Amino acid sequence: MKKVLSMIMVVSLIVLALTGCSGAAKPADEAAAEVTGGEEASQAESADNTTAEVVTFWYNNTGDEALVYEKAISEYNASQSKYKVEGLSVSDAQKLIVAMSSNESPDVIKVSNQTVMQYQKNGLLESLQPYADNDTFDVSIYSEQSIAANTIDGDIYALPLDAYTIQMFYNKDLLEEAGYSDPPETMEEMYEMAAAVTQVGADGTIEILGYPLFPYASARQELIYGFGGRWWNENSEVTPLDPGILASLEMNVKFRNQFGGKALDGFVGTANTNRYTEQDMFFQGKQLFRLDGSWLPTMMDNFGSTVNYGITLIPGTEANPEYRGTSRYETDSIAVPLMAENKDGAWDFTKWLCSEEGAKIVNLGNGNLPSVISLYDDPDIIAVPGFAEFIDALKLEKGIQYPEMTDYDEYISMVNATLDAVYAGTQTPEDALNALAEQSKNLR
Amino acid sequence: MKRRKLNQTQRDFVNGLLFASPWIIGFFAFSVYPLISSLYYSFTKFNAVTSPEWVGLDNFIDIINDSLVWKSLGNTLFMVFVSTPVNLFVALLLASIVCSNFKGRGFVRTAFFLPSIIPMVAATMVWIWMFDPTYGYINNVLSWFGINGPAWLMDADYTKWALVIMGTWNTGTTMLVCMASLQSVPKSYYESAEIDGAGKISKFFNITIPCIAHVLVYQAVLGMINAFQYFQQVYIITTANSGVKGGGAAGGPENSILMYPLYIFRNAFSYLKMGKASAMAWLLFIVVALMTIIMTKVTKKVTENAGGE
Repeated sequence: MKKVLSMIMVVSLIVLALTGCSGAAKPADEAAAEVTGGEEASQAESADNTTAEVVTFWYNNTGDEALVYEKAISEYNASQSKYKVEGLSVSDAQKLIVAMSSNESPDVIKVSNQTVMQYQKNGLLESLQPYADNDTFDVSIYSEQSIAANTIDGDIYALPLDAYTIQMFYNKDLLEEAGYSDPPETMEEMYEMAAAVTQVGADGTIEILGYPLFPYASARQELIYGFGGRWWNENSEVTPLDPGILASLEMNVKFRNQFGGKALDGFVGTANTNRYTEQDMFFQGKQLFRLDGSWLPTMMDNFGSTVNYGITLIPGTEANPEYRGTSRYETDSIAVPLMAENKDGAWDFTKWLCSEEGAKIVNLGNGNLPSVISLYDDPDIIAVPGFAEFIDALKLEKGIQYPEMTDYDEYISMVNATLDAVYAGTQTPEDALNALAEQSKNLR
Repeated sequence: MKRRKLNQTQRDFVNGLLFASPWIIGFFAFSVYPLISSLYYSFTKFNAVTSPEWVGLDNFIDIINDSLVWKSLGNTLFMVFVSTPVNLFVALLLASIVCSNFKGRGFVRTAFFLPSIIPMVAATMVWIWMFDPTYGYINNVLSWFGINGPAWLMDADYTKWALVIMGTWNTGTTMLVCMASLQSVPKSYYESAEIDGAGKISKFFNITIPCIAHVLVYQAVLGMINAFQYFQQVYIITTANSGVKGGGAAGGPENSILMYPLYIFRNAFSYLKMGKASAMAWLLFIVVALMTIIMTKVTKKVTENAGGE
């Protein structure tokens, strides 16, 4: 009897312990629905719940931005009865990798086009070219640079949803106080104005920053592009010894030497802590020039900033004025993982979401620039603060694309570390770039 | 053939094994299997999703040639050999304070312990604000004494010291352990020393420290092991600073707070180099194991003579 009871207890314990484990991989939607911790699962309406094939869609937006995607999903589901999209907000990129590796991949993902490149190079994405060809999908509805941003080795691997580019915001009042009426068109003019406007307090701290050192991501990109510098060439080979990069860094170091590197670091540190909050340095009128994106005017409105600002193109140089308006170009993209279960449904939803109808919902809802050309002149889009200037810049098609590199993240990490050394004064620009060239020569 | 019956001892053993089987199964499934898998992956090129490809020792050679691996190891060793003793000293100091008899001792004990139960992620976000160069509390307090505080998390010379300061705030658990060991030191030792004319400092170094040495050594070893796994705080800081200096870099300004575990994480999930990350993890295991053995042997004599009556 004792033996029987012991066996029953042991078996019960084993069963209890194994209850949480499942031998079979769950469908992505079931697994997604179980995820907790700030993620929002949706069960969007469908015209026909019983027969529609489920398509799972993971996007990395949260809060109010996630609701915009849920609205788009509802519209799509209501427009047809064959597929039912279930959206899930997943802001953790590592979760996506784990899901893909454990056969619980979503059918559709929203990622940046740089991530599209990285995933494609690692063999994680389905090519959309065959689907586009079979459907005779017209990609000319998108701008050339937005399609190029999602084309790898001649094939489309994602469709563009939003577009990002950077422009120069400037404080008109600070500029006028310094005696200037128009924003700069060259880097040399920008330096002169920045030096005139920068104010240093009695304790040596920077009170108003003229030179656009913050955000550093813009200093790494747009400030370099304005000099004609490139961190990679058209063949996606790294080019840290580009003379334009050196010229930009020399001007940057000149400014730091003039006003003190440590003091500038202090300002930038505070600027970062308060970035996109009510105390944002530009919103408070403490930055003359700010290289930033199309979301800034909406944020300034939301925070009630009274700064009298203007938007203009990134300056070029006196020797090369044609560099003016050069900026990074990125897209939010919709892609289909290689492990997706319902690829046909994924393609159907992808092409709808990235068409004029679907894209407008997301572009307007989240305040992002369109990739669809017909939306450039949409009155609702143009009405968003700052969008008119940004769309004019987009039309120039001067965007710098991300390289098709497997080791892109690693390269940028090296670039940033190199820039740190230059800004801290521990290496001259020339020595730092030579060291970077040596360090990055084996990157793919 | 007649089935051989188990004797009582054997039957007890089998029953015990069966009762422990849930844990044993879990141990093999969630500890041993991942351990062996990671050892295999360390010899492969693997992006965590597609099939691994055997590359032999390539990952280990890559690690040896990767300057950031050595940088991250150096940063981690800084935390091991600087932050650990500093935290231990602060914990002992706080324990000494709360062992004294004074009004409000209970409140003070609670106040010193509370930081230990605050989630590290939330605490780190608050510390980022505290270290703000212009509006942060740290620099504001320093300005009272006429000191122009540094840019802390933006200055490569001060980032690790900022982490050391953050670490001292979180010594509540160690403080409790030290407090318990301080209370176990026999009062007769102090009374005898007083009679012989010993002062407070002499009593502390000649009685207190030797009696609690075994506890201090144990806490030091634990602290070192934790320091080798230092990750959460630097991950939050480098992620929060993305878009500014060092934010895009793997580990802060000039990679000054690139800790070894953080670099493992970057390789695994940012660069999709799970093979290299696995190899780095195994090297970390070997380093930590060696240091623990060395530490234990070196301090054996101290701990043998420690303890009270």
